[in-house]
Amino acid sequence: MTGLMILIGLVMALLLLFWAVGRGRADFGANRAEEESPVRLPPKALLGRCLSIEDVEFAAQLASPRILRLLLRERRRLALKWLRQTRREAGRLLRQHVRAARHAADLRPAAEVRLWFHAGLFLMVYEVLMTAVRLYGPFRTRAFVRSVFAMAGVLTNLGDRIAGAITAGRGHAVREAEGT
Amino acid sequence: MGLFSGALWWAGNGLIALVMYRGRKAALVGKYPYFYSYVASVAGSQLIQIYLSVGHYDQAFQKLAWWILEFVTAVVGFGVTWEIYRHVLCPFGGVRRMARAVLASLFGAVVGRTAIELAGRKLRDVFPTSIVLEQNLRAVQALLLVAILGLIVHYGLPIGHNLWALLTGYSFYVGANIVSLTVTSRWHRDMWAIWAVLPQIEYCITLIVWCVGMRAYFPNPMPDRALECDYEHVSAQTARAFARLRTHLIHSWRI
Repeated sequence: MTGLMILIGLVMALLLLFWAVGRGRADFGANRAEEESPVRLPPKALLGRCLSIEDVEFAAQLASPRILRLLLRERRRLALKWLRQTRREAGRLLRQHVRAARHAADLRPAAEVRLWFHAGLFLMVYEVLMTAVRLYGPFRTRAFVRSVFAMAGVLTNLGDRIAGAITAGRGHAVREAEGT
Repeated sequence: MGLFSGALWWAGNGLIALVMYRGRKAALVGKYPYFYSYVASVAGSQLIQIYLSVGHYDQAFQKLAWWILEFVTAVVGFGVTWEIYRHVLCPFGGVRRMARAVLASLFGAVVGRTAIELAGRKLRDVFPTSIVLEQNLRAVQALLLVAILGLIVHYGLPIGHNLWALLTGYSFYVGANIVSLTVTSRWHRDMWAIWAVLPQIEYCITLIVWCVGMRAYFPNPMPDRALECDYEHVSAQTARAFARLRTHLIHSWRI
């Protein structure tokens, strides 16, 4: 077990080293200008159009399963591409930050950790969406996201009502105690 | 095996002499004092071992001396790690602060783990065997090297040819040493003959890397001072951008 852990550590160290060499080269390469350009998010409308239900309804009306399958496959490909582009922009944002931060004399480790947390959270959401699109397709993923939001809304309302009831109950108990 | 082992031993001695000669000739000793102290301590330990082997001392004494020398060189080896940290992080005050935080958490984790592991043991069981102690020292060095490597990779810190050689050679040596020490501590009786040659090979490879990388002085690239920025502002902006990016990612799927 110890040997295995050490081997894993060694492989990780070697990978880091190779990555470092590759990154060092890329830093001074032709990609530099592109890397420093501002972050451009893929438009929401593009995804909206990609997930347009009218297109699916139209394809369904044609009564050709092949066309419907082709449409769904294309839409899945486009949705994955949209997600990957967002991920690429997030990576670029992090690299831009790191390039600026390495020269900063007043770098704060706590702020850096907070940023890693933000980046990790983004990556987690990205991976969940990628997996959902890959497994269930973009339309079901959208339905899933909507239902998650709806459930979150219901839970928020419920929480608010419970908190309100507790506060009201406490107020009532205090008034009763003062009355006696 | 005997001839091969002998050839490796002589090659190792020749290579270490070459590293020291090049270090003196290229005036690298003053620039990397901790590294050359380590090289000198390794060369010194080799000389003591030669003296002991020709001086007809008994086997038990030679073995004890060998372990003491191994332990001393492992401790002096921390100087190499320190040398790497000193040169890589010197121009980057902020990253240095980050390194301090990372190392403090690493040491905290190591001390915590050791405390938990040793809790409830008898005092005589607490002291490890020399092989385990050396293994643990090397493991701590490996952790430190992985931490500096992580910082170099994450912040894209530029490093010169000399430091690449130091880092690559020492990381390889420490890593390979841990593996061979682990294997030796587990199956030392049956497989000693095979594993005795492996540290010599590791040692020679490391010395070759150092011979090539430390043949002349290659200064570390200095960062452009004009690129210094207001970290507070940059950090807040990136955190906001990430929050926006996450919202964009989720809300695009809600429409």
